[in-house]
Amino acid sequence: MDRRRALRTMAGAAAAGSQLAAACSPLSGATEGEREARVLEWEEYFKGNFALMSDEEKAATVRRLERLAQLRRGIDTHISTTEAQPGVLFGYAFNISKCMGFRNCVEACVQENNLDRATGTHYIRIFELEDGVINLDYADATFHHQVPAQGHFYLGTQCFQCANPPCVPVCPVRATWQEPDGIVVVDYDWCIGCRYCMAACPYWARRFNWAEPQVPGDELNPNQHYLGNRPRKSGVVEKCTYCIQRSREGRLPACAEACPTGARVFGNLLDPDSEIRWVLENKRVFRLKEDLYTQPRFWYFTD
Amino acid sequence: MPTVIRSETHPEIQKYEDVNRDVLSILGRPGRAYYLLLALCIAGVGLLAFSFFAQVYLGIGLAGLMNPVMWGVYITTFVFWVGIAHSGTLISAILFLFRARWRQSIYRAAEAMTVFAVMTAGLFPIIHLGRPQLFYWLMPYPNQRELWPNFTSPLVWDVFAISTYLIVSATFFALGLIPDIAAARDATTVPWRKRLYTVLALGWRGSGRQWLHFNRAYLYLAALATPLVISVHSVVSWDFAMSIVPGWHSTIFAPYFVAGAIFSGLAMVITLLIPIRTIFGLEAYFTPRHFDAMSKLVLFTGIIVLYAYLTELFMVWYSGRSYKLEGQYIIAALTGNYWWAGAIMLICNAVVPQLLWSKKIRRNLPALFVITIFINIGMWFERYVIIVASLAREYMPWQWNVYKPGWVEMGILVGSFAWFGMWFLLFLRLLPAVSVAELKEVLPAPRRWGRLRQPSAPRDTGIPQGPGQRRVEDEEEG
Repeated sequence: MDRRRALRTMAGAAAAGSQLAAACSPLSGATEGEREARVLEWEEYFKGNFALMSDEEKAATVRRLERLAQLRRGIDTHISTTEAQPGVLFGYAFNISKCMGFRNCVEACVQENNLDRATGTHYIRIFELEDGVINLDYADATFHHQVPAQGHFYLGTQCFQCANPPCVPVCPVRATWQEPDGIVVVDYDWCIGCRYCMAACPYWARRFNWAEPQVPGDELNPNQHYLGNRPRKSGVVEKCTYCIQRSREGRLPACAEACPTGARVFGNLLDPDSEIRWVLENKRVFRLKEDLYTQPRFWYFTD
Repeated sequence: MPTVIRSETHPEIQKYEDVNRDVLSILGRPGRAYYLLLALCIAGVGLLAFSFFAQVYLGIGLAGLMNPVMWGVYITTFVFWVGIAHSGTLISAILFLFRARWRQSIYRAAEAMTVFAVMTAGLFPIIHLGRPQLFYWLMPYPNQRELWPNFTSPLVWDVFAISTYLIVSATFFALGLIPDIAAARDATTVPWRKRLYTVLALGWRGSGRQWLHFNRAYLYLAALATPLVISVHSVVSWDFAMSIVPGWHSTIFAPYFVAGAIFSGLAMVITLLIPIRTIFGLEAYFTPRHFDAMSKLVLFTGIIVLYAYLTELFMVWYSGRSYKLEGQYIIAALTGNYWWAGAIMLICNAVVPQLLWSKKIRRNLPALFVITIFINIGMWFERYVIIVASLAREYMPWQWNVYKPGWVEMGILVGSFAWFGMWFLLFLRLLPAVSVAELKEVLPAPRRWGRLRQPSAPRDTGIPQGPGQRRVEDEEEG
C-alpha cells in the first residue's frame, strides 16, 4: 500500500470512528434536561465515600442529587447531611405490654423512608406471639385479622443499631458503618450489593433492592438525609436508621410518632432525664438474642 | 537375554520419540467431534452471557434469591470451582516437591484444570453482586476515592486469595510449559501456531544455563504454590465460618473445606483424564497405576470429609442445642426442606467413594469415571446444603423460607461448565497436554546399545541408573 492510500484509509477510518463514537455517545439525541441529568450522573459516579467527603464535596453531591430529583422526577427534595450531635447516643425501647399490633408504625415507616412499594419492603415487623412465653418459633408477622387478638401479645423488630454490629465488619468496601450517635448507616452509592451484611445480621434487619425501588412521585418524602431515606438504587442494601433525617433534627422516628398506644420509646441514652433512661432504669428490660453479643441498643420491656 | 531399561513410573513408554510423537500429535488437526464440542461449549458461554446480562438489565431479583437466602447457587458454584482448582496444584506442586514421579504425565492437564477452574470461580463473586459493574472496588488500589477495601471483611480476603491463586497457578503453568512450547514451536509448520509458540516459549533454546534457571524457578514456584493449596480454600471457608450464622459458624470449616476441595478436585481430574486417555490414545501415559494412586487420594480426603460430617452431627448432639433454632446445617440438611440435597450429598460423598477401597474398582476406568462424576455432583450439593440450608434457617424462625434457583442461576451454572470446557478444549489443541520435557526425565535416556541385541548378559558397569529408572529382565523381547 502506498503512502497516499494508507493516509486516505486512515482518514476514512478516523471519520467513521468519530461518527460511531458520536452515535454511541450518551449525550446524543438527548433533550437539554436529559443531557444535564446524564452529565450529573456521570459526575455522581466518581464521587467519594460519604465518610471521607469534605463539607464542600458533601454540598456538591447534595446539589447534584437534588437537581437530579428535579430533572428525573420533577420533585423538589431536600437532602440533609446533618452529622451526629455530640453527647447523643440513640436508644429505643419497645413496650410489649402496650403494643396491640395495629402496625401504624409499619405504615408510617414505609411513607417516611420511601420504601419500595413494588415488593412491599418493610423495615419493621410486628410479631404476634402467644401469651406467656416469648417463643419466636411460633411468631407470626403476617397476621390478617382484628387486633389485639385474644391471648396474644405483639413484639416489633427492626434494626437494633447494635453496639457490636456483626454487619459492619463484613462489608468489603466500607459502605456501612456506625455513626457516633450509634446509628448504623449505609452509603447507598457505595454498596456493591454482595449481601454479606444481610447474611451476617442475625435479626434479618437489612433489606435488599432486588430491582429498582418503586415509589410513586407524589408519595416521595422530600425531606431526606444522605444516609437515610433518599431514593435507593437497584442492587443495594438498605436498613432502618431510626429515621436519621428526623432524629438528628430532634424529632421522633416516624414509627415512634405514629404509635397510637405509646409502646415505642425513643431517646438519648446519654441524657439522664430522657424517657428512655427512665425505662431502662425502672423497668424489666431484655434484648433479643443477647447470647450473640451483638449488644442491641433496642430494649423490650413490660409495664 | 537382553536388558531393557524401563521407567518405573511409566513402563509402557519406551522411547523419547514416542513421547514427542504422541503428545505433539494431539496438537494436530482436530476432528469434527472436537469442533462440535467446542461449538456446544461456546453456545453454553453464550447462555451464561445472556443470563448474566438479563440479570443485570432486569435486576438481580430475576435470580431465585430472596429473603433470607441471600447467597445461593452463585456462591455455591463459586466454592465448587475453587475447590476443583485445588487438586491441580496438589498434583503439580506438592507431588513435585515430594518427588512423586508418577505425576509427570498427568500434571499438565491437572494444572490447566486449576487455572481454568479459578478463572471460572472468579466470575461468580462478580455475577453475585447487586451492582456487578463496581466489582473493582474490591481491589486494593490507590484510587481517587481514597479508600482501601475493608480488610476485616472475609470477602476481601477472598479477593486476595483468589487473585493470588490465579496469578501463581497461571505463572506456574506457563513456566512449566516453556520447554514443551519450544519443542512444539520447532515442530509446527502452521504460521499462526509458530507465532504463538514463539511468544510463549520466551526464546527458549534449551541451553544448559536455561535449564539450570528453569529448574530453579520451577522449584521455587512449586514451593510458593504449595501453601496456597491449604490457604486458599481455608480463606474461602472463613467467608462462612467468620459469620454467626448457625451452620456456618464452625471451627472445623477450614480443614473440612480443604479436604473437600482436594476430594472434588481429584475427582474432576479423573473425570477429565479418562476420556482424554481414550480419545487421544494416551493409554501408556495415563496408566491404571495413575488412576489407582489418585483414587487412593480421593478415598483419603473423602474419609476426612465423612469425618467432618460425623463431627457436625456429634457437635449437635453433644451441645444439646435445639436443632430447630441453632441446628447445625447437617441436621437441617437431613430433616428440612433440603433433605433431598442432603441425601444427594451424603450418598455421593460418603457412600459412593467407599467403593474405592477395592483395588479392582480403583483400576476399572469406566467405574471410576462414574464414581468421580457422582463425587462432583455430591460436592456441589454439599456447598449448596451448607450455604442455602444454613441461611434458610437462621435465627428468626418466622423468616425461614425455601429457596428455588431461578432460570438465570441455572443458565449461569450450566454456562460455567461450558466456559470451563471451552478453555479446556482450546488448551488440548493449543498446548501440549502432557509434559514432554518432564516425562523424559523419568524415561531411560536413549542409547545405542538399547536398540541392539546384546550377545550376552549385559555388563553391570557403565549403565547409569537415574532416579525413577530400573532395569527389568524382559523376556518377551528376548
